[in-house]
Amino acid sequence: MTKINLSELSIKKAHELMHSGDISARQLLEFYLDNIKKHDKDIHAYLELFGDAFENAEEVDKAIKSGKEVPLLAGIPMAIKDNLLIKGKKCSSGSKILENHIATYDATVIDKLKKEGVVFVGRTNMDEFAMGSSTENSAYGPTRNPHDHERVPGGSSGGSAAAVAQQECLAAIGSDTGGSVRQPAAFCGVVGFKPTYGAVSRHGLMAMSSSLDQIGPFTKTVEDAEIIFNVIKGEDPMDSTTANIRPSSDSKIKTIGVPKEFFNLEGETEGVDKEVAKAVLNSIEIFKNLGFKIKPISIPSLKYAIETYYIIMPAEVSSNLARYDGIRYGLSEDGENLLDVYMKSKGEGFGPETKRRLMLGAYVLSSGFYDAYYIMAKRAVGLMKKSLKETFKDVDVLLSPTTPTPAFRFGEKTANPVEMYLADIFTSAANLTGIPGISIPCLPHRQAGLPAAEARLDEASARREGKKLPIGLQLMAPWFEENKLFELGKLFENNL
Amino acid sequence: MISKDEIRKLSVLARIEVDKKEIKSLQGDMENILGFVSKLKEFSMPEELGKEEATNKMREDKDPHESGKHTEDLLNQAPELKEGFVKVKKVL
Repeated sequence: MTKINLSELSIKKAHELMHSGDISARQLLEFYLDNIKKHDKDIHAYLELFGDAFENAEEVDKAIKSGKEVPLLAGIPMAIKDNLLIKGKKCSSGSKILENHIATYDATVIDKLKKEGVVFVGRTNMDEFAMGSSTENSAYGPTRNPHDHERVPGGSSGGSAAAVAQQECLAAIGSDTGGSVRQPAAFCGVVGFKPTYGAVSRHGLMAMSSSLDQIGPFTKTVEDAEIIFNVIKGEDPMDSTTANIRPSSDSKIKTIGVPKEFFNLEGETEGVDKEVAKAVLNSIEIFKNLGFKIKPISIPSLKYAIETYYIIMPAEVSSNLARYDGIRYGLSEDGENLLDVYMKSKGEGFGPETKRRLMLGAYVLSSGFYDAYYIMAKRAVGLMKKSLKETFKDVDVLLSPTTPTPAFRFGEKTANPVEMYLADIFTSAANLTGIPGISIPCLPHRQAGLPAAEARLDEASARREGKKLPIGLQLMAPWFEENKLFELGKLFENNL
Repeated sequence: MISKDEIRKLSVLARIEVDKKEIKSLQGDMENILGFVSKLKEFSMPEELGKEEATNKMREDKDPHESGKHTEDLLNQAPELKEGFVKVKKVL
């Protein structure tokens, strides 16, 4: 059996090794399970490991042995966020209210991955119903950042991000409503990708905020993210927002725009950590050296993205989560009458952040406040979309830090919800407007720890108490032009 | 200012039972959050914005799956059943 370095293993490499017979899908799964055994008690990325993973891996081995050409993702061990339905398996969305819920069908994304022969390792931890930026809102305890166990992995898909960073799976799937893939990817030093709204079907993803939710992958490289995206994308009759729109082929990337509302090229940016700023400036230099034009731009409405997000999102959450009422599924508390059953079930089953957002949603949608909040927020979204359309006439791609700071400590932001919300200050605009966004480590994960990369590690990470924390760079492209993000992202990785 | 009564009213709208302690903390949190999102009001925006909405692409209503195919799976998730129906408290 070939000895392999898991941290250097990509999807293509794993595929080749399996095809050449150097390793079997079963052995590959064993490598990751060994790591889970070693590390998961410290980081708690997984809520459950799936018992049938070996069976699925052996099926792939059988197919390869019989001489079949198997798909690229066949036998690839992946982790799945706890809000994506896999038929017959528990799916709790990190909530007590769905503690014993068994999924009754496969999400479209799961169905597509199954057809490829992906091996699902287990379900990963998350903030309850994907609401949070740290996994501290999970009813099952937080996940810890593999780079520093005293710090959060980000959220809400924190378990998926940590699992990839700790080599507990080759790739993972998450969902991104305001930054829930990109922000934890930045904190854990992996690639996190949010496709265009409508590019990937959400059928079978537990709905949080339906005008914003998208499903996206966590990987070690941009190429891996592209491979997974190409499998999970596409129109689906079960999600009426999906569309098959191809990017225009003549899209040559020349200019990268940097919105000054997110990052000021000529001096300090308020709220952005100094080491984050330095890593982003270094990354910009790399793009300059590659011949791209860097253009400072201004989109004033972006300054209000996070405020807008915290009106639209809770409004949609309050209607989407109405279904968890103790009647058809999930936790049910006995009460005197029907209303009492609803109120007691929700009161008992939901955690504090979920309750806050449901109340906030009820508030901004209630008569008398609807015009002042919800309508204003919808207008702001309209303005952002309009401004972005104009902006993309001048620049091909947008660049910013993914997050204003590196991973924070547990408890650092739990006392003040607004402090926590600001973790998504640079990511929520892509959800509000629907454009695709990717977070790439300023130092690629696969290079971390290798001798040649050590010198660069200092420039591309934030130092806290002797530990080096990853920093993420965010790239955003026009609607359905994901190809630009992959092209630019791969160039960036290769030139670090 | 958000009063405790308003929080109680919201909790009924949201169908969430909250105790006294929760009402107090929710009152503080809601004021904090609403103060934060209210910054949006400083921003002047033309009225015609926000009306342009993406449209849903509906599938044709045909080829249904066979009746009862998923019934058992779905009912198995319900907390209480009676004669093949989900049991609820008296409505009328």
